Amino acid sequence: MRASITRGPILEILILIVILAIIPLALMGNAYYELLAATVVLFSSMVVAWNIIGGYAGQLDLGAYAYMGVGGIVTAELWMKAGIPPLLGIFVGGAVSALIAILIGIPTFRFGIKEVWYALLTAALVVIFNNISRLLMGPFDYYLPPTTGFVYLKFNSYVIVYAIAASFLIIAFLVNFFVERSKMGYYFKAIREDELAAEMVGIDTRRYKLYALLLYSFLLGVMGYIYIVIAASYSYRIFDSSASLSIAIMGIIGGLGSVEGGIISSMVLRSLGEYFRSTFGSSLPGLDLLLYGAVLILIGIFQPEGISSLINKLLKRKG
Amino acid sequence: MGNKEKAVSTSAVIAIVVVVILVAVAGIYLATRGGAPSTTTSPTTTATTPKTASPTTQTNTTAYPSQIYIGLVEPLTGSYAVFGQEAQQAAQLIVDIINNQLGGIKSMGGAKLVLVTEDAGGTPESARLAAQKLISTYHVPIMLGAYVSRFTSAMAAVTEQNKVILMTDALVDSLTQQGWQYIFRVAPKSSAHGKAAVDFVLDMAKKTNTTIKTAVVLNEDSIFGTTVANGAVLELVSNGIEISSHITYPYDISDVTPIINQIKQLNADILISIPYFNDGVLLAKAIQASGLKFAFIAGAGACGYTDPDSIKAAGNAVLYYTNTYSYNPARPTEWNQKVVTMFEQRYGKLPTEGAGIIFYSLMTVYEALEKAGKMFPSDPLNPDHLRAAFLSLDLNDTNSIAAQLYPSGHIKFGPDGDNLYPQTAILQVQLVGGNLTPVVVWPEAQPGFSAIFPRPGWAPTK
Repeated sequence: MRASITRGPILEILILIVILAIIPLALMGNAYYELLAATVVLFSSMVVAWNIIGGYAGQLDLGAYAYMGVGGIVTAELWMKAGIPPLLGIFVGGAVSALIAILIGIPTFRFGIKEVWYALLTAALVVIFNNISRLLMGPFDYYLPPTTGFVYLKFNSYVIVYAIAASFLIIAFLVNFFVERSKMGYYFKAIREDELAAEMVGIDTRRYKLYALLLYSFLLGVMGYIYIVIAASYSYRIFDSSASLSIAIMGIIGGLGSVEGGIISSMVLRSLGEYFRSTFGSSLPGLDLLLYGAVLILIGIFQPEGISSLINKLLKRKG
Repeated sequence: MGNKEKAVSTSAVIAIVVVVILVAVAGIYLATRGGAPSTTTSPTTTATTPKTASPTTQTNTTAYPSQIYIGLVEPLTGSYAVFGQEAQQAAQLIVDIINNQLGGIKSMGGAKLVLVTEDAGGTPESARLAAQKLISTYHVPIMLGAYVSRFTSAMAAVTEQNKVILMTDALVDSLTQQGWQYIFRVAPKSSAHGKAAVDFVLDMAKKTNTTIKTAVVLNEDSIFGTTVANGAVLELVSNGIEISSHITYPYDISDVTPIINQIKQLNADILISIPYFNDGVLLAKAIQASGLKFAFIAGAGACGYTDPDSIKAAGNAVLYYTNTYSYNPARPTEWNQKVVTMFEQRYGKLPTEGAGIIFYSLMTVYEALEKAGKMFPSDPLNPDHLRAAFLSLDLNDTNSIAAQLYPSGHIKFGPDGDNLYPQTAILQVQLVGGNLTPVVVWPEAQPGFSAIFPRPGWAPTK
């Protein structure tokens, strides 16, 4: 089993890169599927980033869109108000989002808010950000300038948007990879399994939870701008509680701590959701949501440990 | 636990490959199958000048397409589904009228319209995917949608890039202020709703010798409510009416007492109110209970007060309230009466805002297609030819069906794509045979009715 540590994951990353590179070719220049691929892969990268805090560190964080939205809006505003190109701006956006996460994380972890209380707190965070941004921005839609170009990370071709989303996915995957293999990763897992025990053996749980939050919020903050590019406009509604929840749901369905499970669940279910919307949306409105919900329930009942354990079982049976 | 994850990582590699291949295969299958078998002959969907004519052209002996796909993206699920579904019904009705009663697009050899509908879903992302799918699969030259402003701007990102005409039924002003080339809007934009409410009140005040000096503006604070209110405020100010207070609140407000108390102290002459639905009911009941007297209470923005559900919920609290609508189902033109009757027969209900906007927007598309066939017989569906055809339209009650369906009876596009002659119809809740009934009172009153102004029981105070 240990042998796979050195060979397996590197192979895995290579395979991921190859697959991500093949997808646009397989879509044969169909703009719809290219756009779909870009949105699905961006969604997957959010789920993979979530895995750091939710999967490894075991903190049920429901606030993904709070960090994503802050990063995205900061990047867009920096471009429109100060002329800072988004190529730089996304990192500022990520940093602002991480800074906010830390400011919230310090008191949260200091007062030992965990488990359901942490989940509630982060869910509330999205609503709070929604309200604050509404006060600051009003109810209006803000449109990105029509300019395209590399420094603006805006393109007429969906393939390039896809390529950016794919590189986010690879970066998020690599961060997971290094976290898992580092001392920090073991500390995260110790915290997830039993926080009290982890503290007893001398792990500074507060600090390491903060590190997980920092990585996660920075990654999401960077991704936010591309989300806005795809949505074409932004408003306070970017802080969407149910969308935020879906990130955590995908991570859980995939299997906590399993990057591969997260990628599979998010890609399959997000594509499936879009297929249902598009196929049944006009003839049987609402059926897509119903079927989508049914899939979630089925997985919840029969595979509560997530897709990754299902794959394990199947492989063991074969072996 | 650590071991378990390692086992996952090696095994899951295979799983990822399998899943992605499956997804890719499914994608290719769907791409080649498309939505309709006749649409796959030109797979170069990303070309900037799409071949908008349906591929069946080749089999036709004439140079014209035998059918033209018209895309419709509407919120068919979620909180805006009521409006989207009504819009879809209206679109299907109009397409059937065009194909069966008007003989298709006559200037293009009687080409039939084919309506293809997509659900906008609940996010701008999904609205964009919907628009892109219509372009990739059907190469639609013209698209309608998407009621909600942020869904519409996501659609516009696609239609502008692919040079597809977007005839929007979303009313927020800013949509036509982005320098977009291919967007058109017949419906009165939201600020025009606010302006119309004020114009109506001032017109009636003049006719009835009522002096109006001060007004309170009260709106729910969504993007729509805010832009409607801005239109009203501008019109009040430019007419020298003093705005005692401009109050905003969230549409899901549950207690309006503080607002009523605030309004009470202002002692203003009129109230211009832009509600959603339930908040309108709450406000009307609270105003009735408080004994507040206004010379007039005018709603704006086509939501609340005068629709059947609000009347049912609020009872006689909304008596004499008015609201502005983008469509006038009582307009006594030949085609308007015909379309309303057909809609009622087919769907068993009166067409309201969502259907009405589609009626005249889609009929305007029909007029533009006819015009394009005449102006550019060799290539009528070229996006720039279509755009030129839209811009050259000057429709009125005598020369078009579209204008007969529109409150002002006049449709002509300005350079930004907005109709230069926007008009809303004003409905007032009146007692007809003892029943609370919404009737059209302005700009042209329904036969046998007139606006009741000022509110009975109001007396000028000194």
